Amino acid sequence: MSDNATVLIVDDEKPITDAYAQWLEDEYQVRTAYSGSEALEKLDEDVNVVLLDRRMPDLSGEDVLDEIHEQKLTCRVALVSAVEPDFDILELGFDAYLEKPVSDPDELLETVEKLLRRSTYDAQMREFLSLANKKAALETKKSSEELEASDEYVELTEQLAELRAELSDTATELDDEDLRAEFQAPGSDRGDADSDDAGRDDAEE
Amino acid sequence: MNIDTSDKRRLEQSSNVLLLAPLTPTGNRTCLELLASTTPPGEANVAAVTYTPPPETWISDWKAHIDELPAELAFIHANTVDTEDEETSGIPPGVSVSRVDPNQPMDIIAPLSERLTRWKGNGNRTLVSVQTLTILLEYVDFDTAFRYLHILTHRVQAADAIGFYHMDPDIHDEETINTLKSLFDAVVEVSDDGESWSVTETYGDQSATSEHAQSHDTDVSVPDSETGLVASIRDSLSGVLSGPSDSQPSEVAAEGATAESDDSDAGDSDEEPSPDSGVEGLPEEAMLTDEDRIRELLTQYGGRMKQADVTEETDWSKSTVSRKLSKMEEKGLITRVQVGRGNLVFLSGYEPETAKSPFEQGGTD
Repeated sequence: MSDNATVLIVDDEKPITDAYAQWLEDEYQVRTAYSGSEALEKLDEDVNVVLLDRRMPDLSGEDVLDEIHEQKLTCRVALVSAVEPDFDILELGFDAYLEKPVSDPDELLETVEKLLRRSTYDAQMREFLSLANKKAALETKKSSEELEASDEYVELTEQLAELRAELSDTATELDDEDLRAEFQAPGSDRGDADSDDAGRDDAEE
Repeated sequence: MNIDTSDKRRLEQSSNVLLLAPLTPTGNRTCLELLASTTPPGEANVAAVTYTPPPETWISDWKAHIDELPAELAFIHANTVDTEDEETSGIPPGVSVSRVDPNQPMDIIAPLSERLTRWKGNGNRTLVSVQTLTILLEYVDFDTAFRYLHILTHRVQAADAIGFYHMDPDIHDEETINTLKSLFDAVVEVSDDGESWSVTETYGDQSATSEHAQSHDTDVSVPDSETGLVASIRDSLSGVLSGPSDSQPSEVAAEGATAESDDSDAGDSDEEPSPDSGVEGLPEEAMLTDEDRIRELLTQYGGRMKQADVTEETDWSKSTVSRKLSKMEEKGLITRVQVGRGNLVFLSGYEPETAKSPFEQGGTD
């Protein structure tokens, strides 16, 4: 995944943005934005990780974060700020916190790497749940003879088995801290309005 | 319950098994028996994740149905209800109990993983028992439960252990259960009476499903033939211990002792094992008020049961049960929670926290 992962760096201080970009461009597709509004222009589903400055004129990092949630984008966000994290920011719904100035390229790379692992896990998990939902919906509606004859069903089962193996590999890479973070705010800051029943309703269609 | 070799192998080859069985003492017994069927207790490490009934209950159930405790035993008790001191007395030395917050999946997974790692390479087979997903689903939303179970099953598999996860199929809708099945290697379905059951491999050949109808009467798994002997010796011992010291009326030994007989060495220090069953030869049941009876049933079921099972056990009509339960709920003796297709009744203190109203949560307890 990290081969073609895309990182968006957002900071109104150009030298900082460019320095981060230089550190990361060997490993990832890098996009840069020098303001909050430019960040919104460069945000789309292809972006996996956003490094987001908190304090910016015009649109602040928090505004951009709100917009990310609004658009239900699944990217992981590292908030970068000179202000020490306080309880008030816990509700903002970001995934990692970097204290400014970040002077160590490895620290930045590690953070991005960690967020990518989590985002990969999350993406695979969504896919797995969605396939499991679909399969369950079919099983609920059809007889076992109908299921056996259904290509869709057979294919679903195969896909699920494959994805399950991949997920297992991904999960091996995650430590307890990563998982704790992934469990922290399920549904609230992610694009998964399908957290509960909605997901299964989708599958029925 | 006998488990034939091909099914046994099927279970042994699985890492994670979903166990669909009723939320009744019979269902509970079947869960323990299936767990024990894969490995003789003397060669097993067992980590049990418990939600409602405390580890003490799990242990006494195990002793009653399986006998010898596993070589290594650890509990992750996911319940924030404060337990009274006396309860810990039921935990044998060497058995560890971690009490964790059921709302925090990682609080359950982290100590479990640690335990599995510690047991690695000790020569025993490691088993994980989760009782029960039905209650777990009351604490967290489905999405979180699904992810939690994925990580849990992943860790169990990575540790070369076998996990058994109980769920009552009558309480949840079919689609919920079918969705969860994707997380498991095999599904065991147990009939209501606990006597027949089937194993299906989730990702294997569907035709490999096998059906069984077997009786509980045959003893499970425990390979040493001594068991019967040991058990009968212990029974007679406990009969002696629990009987009045001066004389030994045979009736007491036969009837009164059954409930207490498991702890043969605890009998002396305990209070008198109340063989006061009826003042003037009245059967004990007649002395109970209806509310007592419901409470006793709940205790017997491990602190929670389906409302439908209350109706069945008491032979009262549905509306009678409903009325009595409403009254008890008003008095704060029980809590009812609408789960899927029916009501679950919880003895006060056993209910999932989320079932409490915001009022109560803020109150003093």
